[in-house]
Amino acid sequence: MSQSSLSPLSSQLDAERTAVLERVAGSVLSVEAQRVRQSAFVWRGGLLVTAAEPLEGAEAVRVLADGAAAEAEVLACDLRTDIAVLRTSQTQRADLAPAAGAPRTGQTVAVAGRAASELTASWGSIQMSAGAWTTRRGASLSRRLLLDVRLPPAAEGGPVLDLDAAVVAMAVRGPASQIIGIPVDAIEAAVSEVAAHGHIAHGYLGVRVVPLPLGLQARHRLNAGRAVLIVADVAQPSPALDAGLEIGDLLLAIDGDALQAPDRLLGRIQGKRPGETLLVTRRRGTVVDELTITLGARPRS
Amino acid sequence: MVDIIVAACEASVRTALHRQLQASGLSAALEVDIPAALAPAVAELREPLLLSGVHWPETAPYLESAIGCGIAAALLLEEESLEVAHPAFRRGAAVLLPWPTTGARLAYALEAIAHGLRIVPDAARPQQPTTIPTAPPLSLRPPRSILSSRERALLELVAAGLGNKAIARSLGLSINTVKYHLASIFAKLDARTRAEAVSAAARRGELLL
Repeated sequence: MSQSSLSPLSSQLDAERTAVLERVAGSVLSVEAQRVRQSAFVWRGGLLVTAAEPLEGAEAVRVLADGAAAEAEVLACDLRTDIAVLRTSQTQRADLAPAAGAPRTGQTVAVAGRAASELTASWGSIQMSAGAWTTRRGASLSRRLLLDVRLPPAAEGGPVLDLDAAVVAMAVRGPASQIIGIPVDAIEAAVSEVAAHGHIAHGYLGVRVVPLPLGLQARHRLNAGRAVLIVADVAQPSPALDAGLEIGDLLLAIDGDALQAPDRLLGRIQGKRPGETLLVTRRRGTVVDELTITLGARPRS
Repeated sequence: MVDIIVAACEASVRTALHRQLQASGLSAALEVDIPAALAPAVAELREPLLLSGVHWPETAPYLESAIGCGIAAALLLEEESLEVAHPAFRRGAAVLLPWPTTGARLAYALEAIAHGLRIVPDAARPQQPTTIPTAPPLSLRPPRSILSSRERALLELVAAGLGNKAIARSLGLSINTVKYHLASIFAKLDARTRAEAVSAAARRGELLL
């Protein structure tokens, strides 16, 4: 009958799927912080990767696998990319391997997670794999990955695996209940930076800005109706001071785009790394000029 | 729109201030004739703002009272007073304008300070390009800073990605004090997460970017 003729194929598929989970089982851990239960996976020699947003502010968390619990230190919590990097003393676990090619739309994937000591798996597919994009928080990611998968809360931060058990991305919750994949190159960059510097540095210009009230802007016919930010303060020392920005300067555009609000500028700056440049179109009096400013690192003390 | 309070001891000065407002197409919400009457007047209005003049230091008690109430003050003063070193400006007057002033200039100034801006007297900016700016030079305070300086310092470190323990170490505080300050920052900025607090502070001009 039809059922018996299908049965070998579906049991083969089942075997392939369960094999994927078995291969990664030892490298997927459960993360417990104060109010949070999520998942993490081993990326490189004792460094674990998980979602940053639910964890933010946590210093130390408990990680669990196969019933064995250990403490892990939160080394970095990068809200721009939603990547947190943890260090645990349990270093004997195998690193997961990143997938070689770019993720394809429609590709079958599984999100592995761990709820307390039990492994979880959610199968689905890559709903969309599109080109580079900038997250809400200003991080530039190489790919925009949307996942068609049910993500239990405890599996957030877990690896998105292909049928070879290689990591395609990390699964996190996005806005509007989307499930988003953070691409592996961003994970690798974050882990490398933490391994080298102990933390992830944020870009820094050293200004406080406020939007120019629209009434004033209209009256003075500034910037053709596009938003203008005014420099309200310049930190000392700071890249902004070195570049000659002054209180009262009007910022007409950043990297060629008019920015609607100061938090958009924050996103632009934090989305860049120290050493990268920012092109500022500045107006002082009636003089408009362009400054190329090399960003510094936000002071950490 | 703001609620302008005209304040001066002499009736003739108050009348003159009303005329100046009329010339700008504005009107006063209230007038007060003694500095002590300012606080009750402020309590009655939604967006109060002081307009006073024209003699310094007679105007000073009104300025002090406005600062005490936490409202912005615009003072119209004799031309020779208009410099950034003037005690009124140093004390925190948002704008000093020459008396008498043009209607358009007064309307502009009041609109600017209603948005939390200050207008620096021209003489304060000798480094300006010699071309005449179409907009008067502006300098600003962020719209009414709601965070304390300690809270702002703490939030800078939150923005740098530090955790509570690292912040406590950096500022020489206990973890509980850090948590206490953070709770206060979150409440003031109506934020639920650190990221929300950081971007809310950025929006209000309270964070170095």
